[in-house]
Formats: sequence, structure tokens, C-alpha cells
Amino acid sequence: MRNLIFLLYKFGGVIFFIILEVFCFSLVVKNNETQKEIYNSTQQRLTGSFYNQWDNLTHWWNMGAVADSLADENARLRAELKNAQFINTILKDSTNNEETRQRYTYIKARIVSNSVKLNNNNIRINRGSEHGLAPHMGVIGAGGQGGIVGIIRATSSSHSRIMSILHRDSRVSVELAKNEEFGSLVWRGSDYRIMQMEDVPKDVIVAKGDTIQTSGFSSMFPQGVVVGTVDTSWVESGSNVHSINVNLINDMRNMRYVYIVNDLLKVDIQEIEEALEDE
Amino acid sequence: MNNILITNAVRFVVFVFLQVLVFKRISIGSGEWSSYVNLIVYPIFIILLPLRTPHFLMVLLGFLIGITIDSFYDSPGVHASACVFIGFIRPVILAAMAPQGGYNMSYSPTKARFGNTWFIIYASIMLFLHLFFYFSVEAFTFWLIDDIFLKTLFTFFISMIFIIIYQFSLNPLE
Repeated sequence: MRNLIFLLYKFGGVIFFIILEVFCFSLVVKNNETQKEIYNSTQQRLTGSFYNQWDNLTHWWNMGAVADSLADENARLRAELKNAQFINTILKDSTNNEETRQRYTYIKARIVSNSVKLNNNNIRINRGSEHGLAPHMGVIGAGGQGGIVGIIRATSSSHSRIMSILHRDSRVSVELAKNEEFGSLVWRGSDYRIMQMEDVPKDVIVAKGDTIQTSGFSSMFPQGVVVGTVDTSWVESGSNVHSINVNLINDMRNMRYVYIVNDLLKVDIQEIEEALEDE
Repeated sequence: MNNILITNAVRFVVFVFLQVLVFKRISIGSGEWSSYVNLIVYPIFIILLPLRTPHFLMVLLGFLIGITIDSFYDSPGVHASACVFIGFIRPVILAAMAPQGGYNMSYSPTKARFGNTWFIIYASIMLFLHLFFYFSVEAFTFWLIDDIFLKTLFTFFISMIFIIIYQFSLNPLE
């Protein structure tokens, strides 16, 4: 006991100083908005650059597979070029010209860190606000696989953190390609290849192998990005909705490149939403 | 002994009240400048703690007054971290400023005990360190270092005036 008091007098100042300063700083970054933001962005920049270095080291190991997938994607894009298509329509009425306007643009980014094993997975990419990225933008897979990857949560100047679709809070509006019945895509946190589709009424016929695609109801993803296929579906007794397991089309574990979806009409849509809220 | 305890307890309460009821509300300058000139006088409580206060107790009391002030300023941890810091650093400063023959450990570091010059230098160092730490934590980044320095300087001069008025008018022994 006496020794304890002696120690307290001798080293108590230093020990209490360290403990209390740590405690104070945790209070500061938890409860004060400015400090919280600075802390988060600094932490992101540091971990981002760390992951970036690590990724530079390991980048070359996967080069073969990446080249393959890029070639695949090139082939797919070539197929979409004008000269690869046969124009099959017969012009009947010249006043009914179809006019199109660019709505989505895509920004390429490389993944610097990724996880699929946690309950709440996050992905970091090497593009940030400098490159025109902002929170709430959707992220889709690149490299021939397609599929969706997640939604941007936070950006620093050079890096961004994505909330993976393999995250408990993630909820993406999707639909069945054949009849456009929509529902929500969520993840229960077990298998990174399988997600769950919710809120599809039980009178809708769902068959194994049906394609699931994005619904385009939010401005995060364009309509019609293929997400996966129906694996199994059943109706729990007493439930009004299907329980659907979805096989993801992309391999969430093995990704190198993603595209960020930039919706050029986002501001227009937001204006409408805000006008609605004001009413 | 009891006397000193009561004096310090009263000082704690009085300066917390003065800080949150009076000094916090006084705003000097207008517009943007008012954020540069604050009145932060309550660290006098830590500055005037008796010389024989154990080190760990000084750190703890610093935390206590800091977190009390924080609860009125709605800035959890910002004042407290600065107070803990000066509570921790005080023995170093006192050691550097020890008069010839050392301290009489039953005294408190007041103007009445150690004279005008000694007290003003000692209180200035303590208050300046407190304010610099406080504004650094408030800004939370050294990108704004000139801002931090300006705030510290302005606040330091105006607060120091109040500390000097307090010591010279009441001239407390402890």
C-alpha cells in the first residue's frame, strides 16, 4: 500500500497526464464537429497513402488477370461502337427524331484496399475530390466483370472511402430485369458472393436464374446495370414478400479497377426533391 | 492546511462562475476580430495551486476545472486538454524559476509571496502555454498556425490584465 502511494506521488503526474490527455482528445474528436472532420480527413489521407504504397508494391502480382479482364472489357466496348452495330430501324416519321443527351459519365479508379470478411466492409480507392468525386456517388465494377461495388462515403483530396455493398447499412434499389419489379439489395453478412433482395411481393413470379439489375430510382446507379442472378427464392410462412438470394455477377474479393458513376442530372433531381420537401 | 484547501475550493468555484457568467460573455472587438480576443482567466486556479500540491493531483484538478468549463462552452475536451497540460508542465516551470535557496514549500506561488516580477513572469508563461495549447486544440491543425498565434497573443494580453488586477487588488497570500 505504501509502495503504491509512493508510486502515485512519483509517477502519478505522468500517468494521469497521458491517460487524461488521451481521454480529452478522444472527447474532442468525438464531440466537436470541426475537429472531428479534420481528424477523419487526416486519418484517411494517412491510411490512404499507406494503402497506396502497399498497393504499388503488390500491384504487379495480379497484372496478368487484370490485363485479361481489361481486354474483355475492351471487346465489350468495341461491340457497342456505332460501326459494330446494325441499324435496324426504318425511319418513318422525320419529326419524331430521337434526341439524346449525356446523363452519366464514368471515372476510373484503382482499388487500394478492400475487404469482404467483415460485417461492414469498406473499400478505398485512389481518386478523391480533386478528380471530381463526392460522397453519395455510386461505384460500379470494371474489368469485364460488371456489377455494382458500393457507394462513396467520404472523400479526401486524393482518396475516397466506399461503403461496399457488403456492408450492413448498404441498401441499393434493384429490380428483376424481366418484369421490372423492384426491391432492395442488402447483405446479411455471411458470404461475399451472395446478397439478399427484399421487398418483392409474393405474387411476383421469381425463378432461379432471373437477372437482377439496378432500378435507376436513385441517381447513384444508372438503370440496367446487371447485379447478379437469382440463386434461390422462397416465401417465409406468414410473409408477404419473397426472400431471394442473389448470386453476384462480380467477384467482390478480386477487383482492381472500378468506375465511379457521375450523374450529370443529379442537381436537377435534387432540386425537385427539395421542392417537394418544401411543400 | 484547511485554510488553504478552502481558499482553493472557493477559488475554483468563483473563477468557474466568473468565467462562464462574465468573461465568456464579454466580447471585445467587432465582427471577425471578436473571435481573436477571448477572455480566459480561469487558469489562475491552476497557476495559484499551493507549491506542495502533488503532481498527479495538479493534473487531476486541471482536468476537473477544464471539463467543468468545457461543459459550459459546449466543447468537450478542448479546455480540459489544455488544463491537463499546464497542470502537468507546472513543476517544470517552477523548477526553472526557483529562487536562490529554493522554495518554501508551504507557500502558494502568489504575488504576495514571491514579488511582482517573479509572479508576472511565472503567470505569463503558464497562461501563454495554456492559451497556445487551447487554441491549437481548438483549430486542430497547424495549417492555421498564424491564426493560433494571433488568437493566443490577443487573448493572452487581455486576460493577463485581469489576472494582474486580481493579484494586485486582493493581494491574496495563498
